[in-house]
Amino acid sequence: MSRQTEESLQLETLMRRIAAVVSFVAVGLMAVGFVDVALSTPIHQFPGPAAIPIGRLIHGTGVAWGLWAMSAGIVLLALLPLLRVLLALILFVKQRAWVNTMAGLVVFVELLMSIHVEG
Amino acid sequence: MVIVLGLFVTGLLAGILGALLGLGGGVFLVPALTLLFHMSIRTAVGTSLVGVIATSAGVAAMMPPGRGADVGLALRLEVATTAGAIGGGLLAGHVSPRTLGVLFALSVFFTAGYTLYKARTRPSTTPETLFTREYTIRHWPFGLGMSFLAGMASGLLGVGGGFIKVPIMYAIMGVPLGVATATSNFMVGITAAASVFVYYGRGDVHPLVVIPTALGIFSGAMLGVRLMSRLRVAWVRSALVVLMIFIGIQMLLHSLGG
Repeated sequence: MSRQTEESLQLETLMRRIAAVVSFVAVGLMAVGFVDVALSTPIHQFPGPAAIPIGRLIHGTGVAWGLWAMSAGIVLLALLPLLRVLLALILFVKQRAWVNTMAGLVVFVELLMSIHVEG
Repeated sequence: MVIVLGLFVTGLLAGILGALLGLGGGVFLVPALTLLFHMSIRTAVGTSLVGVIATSAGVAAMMPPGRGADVGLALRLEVATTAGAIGGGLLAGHVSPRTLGVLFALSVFFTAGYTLYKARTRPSTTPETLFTREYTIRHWPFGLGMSFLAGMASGLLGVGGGFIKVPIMYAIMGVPLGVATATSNFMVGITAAASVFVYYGRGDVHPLVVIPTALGIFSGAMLGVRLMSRLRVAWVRSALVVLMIFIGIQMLLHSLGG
């Protein structure tokens, strides 16, 4: 097996493990927050409050804990693709695959920009 | 609690149906949330995008080694797809719900056509051929252009975009079908992430809706993959194409005020 193929398989395995761990943590946060909020939200108030903006999420002040946990879980899940791009970037740098590295860097920057863009 | 259960079951069914067709569940989920639960289409799209990310993460966690994506190809195409997704997400904030509904109906019809096209192409099904690494990628400009459109569709309509990406990679760019499918699945999560933050920032992501639905769609996708081996795929495919046409018509009527 070539070194590149071996490194690619290692990357796949690492991505699988990270996807599993991050998903588990994200789902855990969402589940705990959901139980806290859903049981106290009347039906006519669905779809319920919007997720907490990321700025307020980071500061964590003045927000209900259940809504914070759900919002944090959603954001964590949504950040997982960024992590996967970052891992791929590291692999491509190690392999000196510069075209792929540049592409990955552009995608990573685009994803970071999307977090700051306001619709 | 009834609504929560209803959202979970809706997600579950959308995930199963999507998996049976080799699609994400967005093409079924968005109409269900707008037509059955009377949610705004932007809320439905925001919900669907989180579901796409959850399903992509789940599939990534279960993918056997060596059957994976061409990550280099994925990232190069994602340069265009991500840009399209952000643009689509931003555009959704300025397009009327009626127009979004009509666009979604058209994408459902397109997806039905793509499903029929897939049924007619019969590539080799040996794993060695499906996942071979010996191939030359062709028609980059066209591939990048279509990737941008796929991203735009994802950001606007909450679909994964695989129904554009897979045929483009396989039929036009010369990528083996198994690699194209795995690469597309790697890409859809990134594409959805690009636009989900736009929806999130706009207040179109409602956790009480997103969480049971995303859980349902993830569970349904995993179940659908297992069901595929037990069902007569051709029969199921025909039934689901009819269902998609029906859904497309309902979305059109709903959007046009019928």
